[in-house]
Amino acid sequence: MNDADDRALVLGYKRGNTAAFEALMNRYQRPLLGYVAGMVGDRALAEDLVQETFMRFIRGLDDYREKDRFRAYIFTVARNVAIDHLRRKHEQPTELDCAVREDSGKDPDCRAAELQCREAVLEALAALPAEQREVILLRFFGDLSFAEIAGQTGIPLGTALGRSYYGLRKLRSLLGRFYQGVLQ
Amino acid sequence: MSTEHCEKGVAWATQFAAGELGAFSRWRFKRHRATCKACTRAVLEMQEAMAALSVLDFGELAAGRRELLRAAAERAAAERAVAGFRHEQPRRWWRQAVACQRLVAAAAVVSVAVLVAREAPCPRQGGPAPQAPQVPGRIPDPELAWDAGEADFAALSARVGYLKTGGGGLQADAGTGSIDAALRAVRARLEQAQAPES
Repeated sequence: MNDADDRALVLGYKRGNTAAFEALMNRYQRPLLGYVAGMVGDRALAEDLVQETFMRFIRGLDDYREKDRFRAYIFTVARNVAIDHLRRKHEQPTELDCAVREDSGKDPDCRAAELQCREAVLEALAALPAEQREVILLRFFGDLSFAEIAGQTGIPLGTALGRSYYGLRKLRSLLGRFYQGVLQ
Repeated sequence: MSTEHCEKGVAWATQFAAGELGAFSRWRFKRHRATCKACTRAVLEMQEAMAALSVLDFGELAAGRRELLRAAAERAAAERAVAGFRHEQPRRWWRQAVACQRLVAAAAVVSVAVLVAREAPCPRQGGPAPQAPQVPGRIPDPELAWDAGEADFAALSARVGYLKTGGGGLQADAGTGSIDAALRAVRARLEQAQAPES
């Protein structure tokens, strides 16, 4: 997947091709879900917010300029949606709801371990300062460069690098012993 | 060098762990890391933390997918409808520039045409070019008519006036003799006409 493909899909959708939108949605729903879930700490809520993100994209289709990188654009929209929600609810993303969908064919023990891992990671993420968490999530799920993250969040590049550095190290220390289990 | 913290590690190690360093910077950082335990540990911890984040894969949207697709289809239908009324390709800056230049060129052509029409040489200012009266049965050329004894005074004076204002025309026709005779005759007529009044 590359930026040219994304631009072609957006252009196709602008010309009325619904399949192009579906392709974009299939491409970005997973990373967006991970990013938003990390921001709000709730998977079900993250689904709603990702849906709202796509709805905003549909409504504001004319706002998207072809020269923009779609990945950066859609993650900016998702970030705004998540921030709006957190402001509206005055929520801190500490409450965790890691309800995993029933994946048929998976071993129940494996599913339980996966759920545990997610809970541990989400807890660790929730314990990070919001600024550090945001940079880490944008870098990891959004696959945005640090320069893009700096531009999007309105901070200097060095600050973005520092937040990621200290955030990841803190995340690693928070995961503690559990980290070994996560990797395995 | 301290094993706890390295100032270079903050930016350098972060970009290295994220895979954002270019080939040369990566090589330089590897050389640095070989002698810096703090950076070695920082990179390892960051990579471990990023690996841990990979468990946050929540899969695809479970709910709302159908609603999204319906909304997208409605918008797409609206776009298709609107597309029937507008140009398919959005106007780019160079298209606008070309269109603007065309307008400017068209305006310039019109201006030049108006100027040329205004400045067009006219035998007499403020009036049409003199023409010999086309009377049936008469010789139209006033000069010939003068010679034939059927002079039309108005036409002939107009012709003389033209020759006067024409400058070179008088000189060119002076050799013919008939124009000189006509001039003399006109002057005599004018003197005669003015004499009773005075």
